[in-house]
Order: sequence, then C-alpha cells, then structure tokens
Amino acid sequence: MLSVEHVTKRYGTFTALEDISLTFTPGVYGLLAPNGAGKTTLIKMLTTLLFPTQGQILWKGEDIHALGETYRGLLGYLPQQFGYYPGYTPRQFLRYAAALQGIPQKEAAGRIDRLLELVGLAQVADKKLRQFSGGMRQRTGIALAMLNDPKLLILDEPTAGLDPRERVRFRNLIHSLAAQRIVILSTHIVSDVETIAGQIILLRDHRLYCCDSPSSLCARLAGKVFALPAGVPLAPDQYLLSEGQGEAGAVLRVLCARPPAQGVPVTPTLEDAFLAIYREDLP
Amino acid sequence: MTDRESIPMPTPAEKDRAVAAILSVGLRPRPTLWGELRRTLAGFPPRMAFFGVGDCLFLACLVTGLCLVPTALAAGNHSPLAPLLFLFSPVLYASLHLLTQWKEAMSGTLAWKQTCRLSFRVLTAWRMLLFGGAAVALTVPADLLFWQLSGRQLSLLWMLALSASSLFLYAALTLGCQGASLVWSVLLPPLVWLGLGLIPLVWPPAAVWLEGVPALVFLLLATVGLGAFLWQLDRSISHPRKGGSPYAVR
Repeated sequence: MLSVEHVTKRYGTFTALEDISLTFTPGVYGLLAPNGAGKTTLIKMLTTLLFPTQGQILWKGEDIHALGETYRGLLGYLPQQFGYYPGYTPRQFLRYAAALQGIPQKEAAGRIDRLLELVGLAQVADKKLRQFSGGMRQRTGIALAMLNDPKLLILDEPTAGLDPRERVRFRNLIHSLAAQRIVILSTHIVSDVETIAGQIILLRDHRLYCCDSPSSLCARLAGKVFALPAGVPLAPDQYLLSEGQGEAGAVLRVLCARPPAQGVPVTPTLEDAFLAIYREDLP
Repeated sequence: MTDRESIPMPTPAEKDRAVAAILSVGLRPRPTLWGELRRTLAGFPPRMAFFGVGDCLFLACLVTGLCLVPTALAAGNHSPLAPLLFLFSPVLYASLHLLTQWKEAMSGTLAWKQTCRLSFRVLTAWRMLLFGGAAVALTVPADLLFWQLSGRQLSLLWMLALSASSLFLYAALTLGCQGASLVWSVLLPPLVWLGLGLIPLVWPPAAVWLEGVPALVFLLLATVGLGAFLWQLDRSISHPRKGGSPYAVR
C-alpha cells in the first residue's frame, strides 16, 4: 500500500502542491487535472525524483526515501518525456534497463521476450528505435517500466502524441497489467482513464479536490447536464461545457441547475465532470 | 516480596547490548563511496556503464589525440612545456565528462534511470572514477613522450607531478561546479582551466614562474585535488539529493 501523507511541495514562494493526502491499493488510479495543476510534481515525488517540502510518502508504512533501492526495485515508471537511444534496438535497450534493475542476464532475456510480445513489438525487437513511430516508442517505454514486474506502475502522460488507435491499444494494455498492482495514470485526457480507472484523483488549485470513482463523479452532475441546439443563447446561469455534433446538427452540452428551455437532459460523462470542475468562472 | 518485585532487572551490560542490537537493526549505516560501489556493481556488467555513450568515448579519444599532436610538436620545438602540460593533462577527462554529461542530458533518459533499482548516482560516480583512471593512464605515456621530445630538459617526475595536480584539481573543480545550473556546470570548469592555462602560454614570466614551482608543491596539490574529488564523490553517495543526480552530485 502506498500512502501520501500531508505532502506539500514548494519552490521558493510558489506552492506547487498543498497538503495532499492519498492512499493507494491495487487498482488503476487516474490522476486527472489540467496542465500545470501539479500532476507531474506529484508523480516525481512518488518516484523519488523530488523530495516533499512537507509530509511524507510511505510504502507499507516506511518512507520511500529511506527504503531506497528496495522501493525503486518495485517501482515501474514511464516519464512524460520518455528518452531513448535511437541507435539501439528495443531488445538492447531493455537489456540495459534490466541491468539497471539488477535482473540477472538469463532471467532478463526471457522477461524481455515476453514483454515485447505483450506490447506487440516482438516482430521489430531487433530494429533500431529511430525507425519506430511514437506509439511504438511508447510501447517500448511500457515494456521498460514493466521489466522488473513492479508492484507500483506510474505512467506520466503516456498517450500524449499518440493517434486514436494507439491510445485504445494503450488503454487495453494498461487494463491487462493492472491486476495485483497499483497503476497510477497521470493525464489530462479524460478518455484515457474513464473506462479503465477505478478511482479518479482530481487536483485543483494545487490541492486535492477529490478521489472518487468515475461513476460517483458523474453522479454529482446528475440532472444538471443538458443538450441544447447550437445557436440558442445561453442564460447567465448556464455554463457551456462542450460543443458537438448530434443527429440533427450542432449540439451544446451545458451545465445548469434548472432545466433550460429546449434543453434535453443527458447522462453526464466524466468529461462533463472534468469541464465542470475546472471551469474558469469558479473562484 | 511479591512476584512482581522479584523479577530480576537487566544488568547495565545487558541493557547496553539490547540497545545496541536495536540500533543496529533500526539505524542504517552511513553509505560510503567504496561500500556502495562494491554493493551496487556486484554482478553489473562493466560494459553497461557506458551504454548509449560509446560515441562520446570515441569523440573524447579523438579530441585528446587532436590535442596531443600540437602539444607534442610544441614540446619538440622546445616551447614552454609547463603551460602545455597544465592544459593538456585534463583534456581526456574533460572531454569524457563533458560529452557524456551532455549526451545523458540530451537523451532524456535520466528520469527513468534515476528510478531504477541500481543507484544511478553510484553508477555515475563509478563512471567518473573510470574517467579519472583513464586520464591518469594516458598521462604517464604522454608525459614520457613530451619529455623525450623536449630533449629531457625538465625532470620527468616534475612533469608527472604537474600533470597529476592539473588533472585532479580539474576533476575536483568539475564536481564542485555540479551544484550550479547545467549550463554553468558544463562551461565553468573548462573556461577556468583555459583561462589559467593561457596566462603562462602568452605571458613568458608566468611560464618561468610555473617552471620554478617545485615538484613537491605539485604533488601536494595533486593530493589535495584527488582528496577533494574523492570526498565530493563520497558525499554525493552519502547525502541524498532530489532524485539522484546526472553526474553524481546534482
């Protein structure tokens, strides 16, 4: 179990995160917030790349910095900017990563083969990484993060720059890896987590806003989200969430407490909840 | 006397032993450079220490070769040898260090490397020790060559002492600058060294003064430089920093 206890991170006078407390048990957690909200800061603290200014992060009751290599040995991390060596093949790269994880060479060879098969790169295992597409490199990164069979898998913006097909493939892969381990998926793309995350962690104003299931978040907006035809002027108490195409033309999804004229109630989605929570007119 | 009152209390010696046993389990020993190197690198393939930076090793050797030739020619022409030795001695170490540091920063691999089980700080400390060893290994034959080409004007021991002091002080300076920003940590040591080395090269009285410094002084400076280098490396291991460091200190 991973617990974050009253963690604060400050850079001089700027507070990146304030008094964050969370507990993680096996399952998929979506860390969802707009850009600049502090997701990567929290991720970096969970991966020991940053020290909290206040508070502590514990793995089974022990401080992760005190645990040192014991904690790093059960951690798998895919950073936001996944770097690689273009002149090497994924097999060579994973062998190097296995050495850094202290995995014996014989054991590493078998694991690498299985992971490359899992991420769909077995056929290109001996091609240079410079020949790979963005999605293929991200899959190499996943294989790298899974190399030590981590109990804690942390992925920072893993689908940035991927096309829709790659994103779906990625979601399916993460879902298959989530059994018996904690998976924390940091993203600002709602669709990445709404179908696979059991819990959504929302950060707002550098604080923890909530940690709840997608269905509970959507239920908060039950009866408050309506579809209006485009072109209908919005009243002051109506907040525009998004625009889209319906069967009869352009449609506006709006948030309001009372049913608007011409409004059709719709089932709130996680994206609606995200847009409602992070709307700009909120104090 | 009740049963409770008849329970024998531990003797002071037993108490001390019990406390010591508890502390030995609860208090981790302070990590040291050599201890961590032994522990971390057991079973680690040596060639993996330079994975991804093979091109930097090649370029560093090329740069050193390119600096060796004019230095040898200058020695053969009986130019002032002291400033040449001062400038040449850290070239291999500086090239290895700068090129690999730049490559590691540009590759974008630092973040995940610093979260791997094996301490990346220890690995980079080991790399720096290997760089220093390679530079020392080059210094001896290079100085022998310059000594021969210069007609043996100066004492070989003096030349070796000057080279060693230049190399170790430079290595210590690079570690000392690691606390600064990446740009300054890369630029400052070679700029300082070039500045110091050019003075006796362009101002003959400074070269004469440098040649008058006894070998013992250079040996002392070499000892100080080596001690500072090793102390800083040891400190990088024993004092945790945010997520480790790209080059053993940051």
